[in-house]
Amino acid sequence: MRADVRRPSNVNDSDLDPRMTESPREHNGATEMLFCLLRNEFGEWLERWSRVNVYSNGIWGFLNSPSLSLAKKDEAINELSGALESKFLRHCDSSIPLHLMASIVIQTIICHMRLAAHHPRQYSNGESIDQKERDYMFSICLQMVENSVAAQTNTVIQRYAWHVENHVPWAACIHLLDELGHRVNDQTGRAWGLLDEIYRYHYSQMKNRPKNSLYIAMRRLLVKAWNAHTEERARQGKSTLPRPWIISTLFTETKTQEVANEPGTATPSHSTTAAQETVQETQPMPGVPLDVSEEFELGGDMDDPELSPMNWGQWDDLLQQFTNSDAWG
Amino acid sequence: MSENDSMSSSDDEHDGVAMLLDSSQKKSLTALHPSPLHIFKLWQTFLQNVNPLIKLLHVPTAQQQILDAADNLTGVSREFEALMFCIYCLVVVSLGEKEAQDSFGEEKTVLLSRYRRGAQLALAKAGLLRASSMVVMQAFLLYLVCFDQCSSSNYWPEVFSHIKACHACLFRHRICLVSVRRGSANGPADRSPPGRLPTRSISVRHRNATSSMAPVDDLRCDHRSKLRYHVANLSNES
Repeated sequence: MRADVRRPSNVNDSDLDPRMTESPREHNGATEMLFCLLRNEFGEWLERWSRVNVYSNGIWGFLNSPSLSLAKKDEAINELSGALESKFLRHCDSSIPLHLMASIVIQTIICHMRLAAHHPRQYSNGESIDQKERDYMFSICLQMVENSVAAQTNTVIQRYAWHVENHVPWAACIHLLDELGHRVNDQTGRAWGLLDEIYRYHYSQMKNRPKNSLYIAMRRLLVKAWNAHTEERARQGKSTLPRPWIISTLFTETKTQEVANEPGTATPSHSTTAAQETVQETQPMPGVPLDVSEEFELGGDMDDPELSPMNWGQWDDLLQQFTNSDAWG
Repeated sequence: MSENDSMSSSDDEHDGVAMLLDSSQKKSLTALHPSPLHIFKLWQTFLQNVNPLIKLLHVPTAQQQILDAADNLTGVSREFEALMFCIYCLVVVSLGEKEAQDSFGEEKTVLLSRYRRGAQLALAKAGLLRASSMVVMQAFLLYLVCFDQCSSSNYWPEVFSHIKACHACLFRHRICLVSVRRGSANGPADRSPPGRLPTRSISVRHRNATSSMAPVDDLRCDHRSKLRYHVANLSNES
């Protein structure tokens, strides 16, 4: 099916009147239609490229297609990026809430496309990805996570948060956590901070759905990544990072659960006392990594998806399940 | 479908869909509307939170109609009433829990449940299946966006099959809804279109529509109303 209508006009409501007999003249620049038009631009681009490169794996299909080279995919994304930049981004005044929202969404769209095109799953075992590509992917995912946090927490665009409320960039989070297991540099502190914010923001939803497979897997990945990252930092002689809120919270939760699960003991044992102390914790403990020997069980019946090397197929299935299920049920 | 006052039925997705299609609906909906003051507040919030992202209405025209309606709810057209309820729904969805309580004195879930029921009944009364009115289609699109925010459903394909089957020649637009389904995963693992069910556009054919917003609406049809939304449609149409 093809579109048989023209794209929306770049006009404001004030340009339209019931008595008009001719088409209004379109503006060159930002109008009230900014957000709709950028979405339209993206939709048209997707449709155009998907028609040319038919690949059945979803609407991002052509970006997953093995028959299209990475260079060609980047070329396609550059085309989109250029159009969004020249038609919309350069007219955006970030002090205007709608424009700020549009800028964030545009950046997010481009990052999504880059992630789809460059995704590590296309490399058989992961070893063949060169460092430059890894760095590039890391910065893309970091940008996505940053945008997600901004969309949820920036007060200027709070009014629009409903529109993106449950768009957690899980794929980007997964990739970041995978990398953070062995990556230590000037970006990794920021990465942990952003991931902490995302998990913190969605913590109550995750807690309300303790059996949700994706949530369980994400929590496990988080803990593994934190442990591995902390070890790597120690190995490199770098100072430890403050423990993220979510790590402390998960740890506390688990210890509480262990205490609750213990058969009743009349006198508190040492472990119970330690657990009780831990329960008091509400603040992240500064600079103390989780004791690696304290590998704690985060619950759930599912098999731990293989996290090293990354089993992308398994993650894809989890994400797909999550998408298809009613995450609120 | 019996005229049932129970609020709980609005939580049942299947009932909700059946309700939308029940064109025998005649129940008065005046009691489900908010007070005139709240109608204005909801409209203002719509302008701030929703309208900029979803430019579906010509605000000057709609605003006057909202004001008129608030003044005389019993005189409002069925089509416009449907639009009003869908606006209420989407506005409530856009509010935080505290905001809803502070501004409207009730819990968000309570408000949403009431307005959603109103929207379903109003859309049915306005003849969604016939959908001879641009206003009704606008209302329905708002409902879809709102509904997408609230939950997932496997029943939407049924709705669209019905609409397609029942329209002979109505709207000549490609209506595609880029929905923002809850809990959608992003990125390459997401095998469905922007985080949701497989989508396709529905196109419905039209002879010249007239509606309460006639000339501006026609202008909007030609120039503005092809907001490109991909509508979830699992029907077998090729």
